[in-house]
Amino acid sequence: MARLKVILKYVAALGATALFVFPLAWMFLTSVKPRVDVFAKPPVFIFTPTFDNYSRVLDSEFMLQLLNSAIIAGISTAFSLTLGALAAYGFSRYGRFKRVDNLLFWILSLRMLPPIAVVVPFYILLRWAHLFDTRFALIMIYSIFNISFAVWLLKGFFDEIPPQLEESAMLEGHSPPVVFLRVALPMVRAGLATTAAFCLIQSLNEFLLALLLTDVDAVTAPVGLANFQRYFGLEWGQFAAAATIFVVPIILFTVLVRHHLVRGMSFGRMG
Amino acid sequence: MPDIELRDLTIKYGATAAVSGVSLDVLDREYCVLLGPSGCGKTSILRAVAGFVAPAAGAIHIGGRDVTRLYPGDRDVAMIFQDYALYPHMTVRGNFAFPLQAMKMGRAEREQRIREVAQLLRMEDLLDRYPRELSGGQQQRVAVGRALVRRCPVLLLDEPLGNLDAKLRVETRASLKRIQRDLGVTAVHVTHDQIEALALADRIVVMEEGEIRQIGSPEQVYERPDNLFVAQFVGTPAMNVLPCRLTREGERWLLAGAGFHVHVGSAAAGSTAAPGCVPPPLANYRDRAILLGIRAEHVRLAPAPGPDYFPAQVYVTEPQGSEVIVDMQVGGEIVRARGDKEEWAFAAQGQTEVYAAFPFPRAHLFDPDTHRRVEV
Repeated sequence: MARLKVILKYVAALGATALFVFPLAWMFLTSVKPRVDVFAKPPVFIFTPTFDNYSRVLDSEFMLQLLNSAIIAGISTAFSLTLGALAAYGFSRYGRFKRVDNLLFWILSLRMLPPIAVVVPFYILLRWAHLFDTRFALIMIYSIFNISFAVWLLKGFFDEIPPQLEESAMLEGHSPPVVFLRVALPMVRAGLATTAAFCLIQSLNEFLLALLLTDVDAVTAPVGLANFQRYFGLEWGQFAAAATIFVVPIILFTVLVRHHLVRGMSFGRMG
Repeated sequence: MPDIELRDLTIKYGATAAVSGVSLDVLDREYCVLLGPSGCGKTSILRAVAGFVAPAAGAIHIGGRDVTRLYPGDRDVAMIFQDYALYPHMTVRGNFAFPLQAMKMGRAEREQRIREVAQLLRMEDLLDRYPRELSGGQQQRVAVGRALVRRCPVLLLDEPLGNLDAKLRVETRASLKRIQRDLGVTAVHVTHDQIEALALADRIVVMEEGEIRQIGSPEQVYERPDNLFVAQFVGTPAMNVLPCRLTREGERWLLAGAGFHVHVGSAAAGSTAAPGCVPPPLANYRDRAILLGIRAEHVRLAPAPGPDYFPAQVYVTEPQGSEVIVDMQVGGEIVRARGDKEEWAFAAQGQTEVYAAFPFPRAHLFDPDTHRRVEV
């Protein structure tokens, strides 16, 4: 009986996994299929793999867009993590003043904003400031969302460290910045990893703002992927190849930090 | 002269005062224990001395220097925390080195200090372990070592033995006192465990509800408690306290309660009071209610009636190795007595009638309204 239960559990888990893995697998298969097999009906699973699509994508502007995405997501994440950790630590340790909840809620409310609501003001602002179609603009805008997320997530982690550790360090003669850097920060390593993962994924995935606030130079990979939709139809093979190139680093990164992600999703309240 | 002086210290959390107007002098090289139930303000005092909470009023002087507003790190004070507060991301060596790094000390001297502390605590082999790889007792030793490595003249201890098992606690207690003596540091130790306080302290400060109830040597606190709270908080089992009245019966003065009486001066060998007299402070209580306190070990038991013995019913007996604690009913109250198990073999469990006596010289008397000690 107990054995049957275990088997059923595995079957359910396998089913769920298949559901999520299938699109990725299909994407990869499409990327290595010869053009004719892409539309084959019924779908073929046995074909001569070709890397034609990849060589075409590697020569295209998609590589610049990939670089844009990496730079924008990377810098925005680093920036948000730095500011977010400082703010979260402040809220966690010194947040005993009046209306601190209002302030925290205001920070959270930045995330509730649907991007579409601010895209026009942002467009006008960026045009006015000559920042339209720059990586800098997207870095700043993504950071607004990422910082608010980082503050909330990291505050949960900082709240978990016993204050005695920092008190002990203060008593030993270390200044508050040293206490923060050498005692508090190393203790929230898991939190930093989680926050970094979420910020990176959010920034890499963002589509709407990137679509409307860039033109040529600062176009990011998700927008670039959409551009495979040409007037004569979608280049399925190249599209799949580009998407694969885009997705593989994210998958690898997620696998690396998967333990932290699970903890982060429970807001640091586990183990 | 690293003595610690607290002047009218008041500590508030929001509107509630955790400590109200406490003044205390901890002498140089003294082992001072702050004793009290949880929430009595003892830890708040320790945290104020360390600089983690700012007092609402009053001043703290360490070695003649006003440190009331000083940053914790500028007070030259070390502390051992109840949960040890070891840095989990550093090895034992790292935990020892971290305080020294704040002192701008050369590498060679730092290594030397770490070696000395490791030797003192016999943990040379553990220097490269992480705290999570150590047992509770070893972690506690690391906490002690980290507090000693800076050679601060003042050591604060916040329930440092609270997380150890009973056997280890007794061993560590002795080593704490030895280290404090050998290094000549001034120690302030916070605990709710009165046995720990009696064992360690040069002086005990008993606290309740943010105020000091008594300051004195362990002997003073145990043998001459200033008030009812101290009397009942210090000592196991807690002191028996029974209401009674001071009356005169012919030539004899008696403390008479429900089902018992105590002959005032009866067993006071060398008592100066002539028959028919009682000492003046007590005489004020003539025909008035008074509280009689008697420790379990001072209650006498006998199998047969005798002068000034009264009957008692044995309820439960708790053998404790060579001793036994007897719970018995006297009048309507439960009285606990402690004595030699073999001598008291007659006091068997289950409604046995025995005879008990409270020898007057061992009795503590308290005013029923102020709860203060009535001197005899």
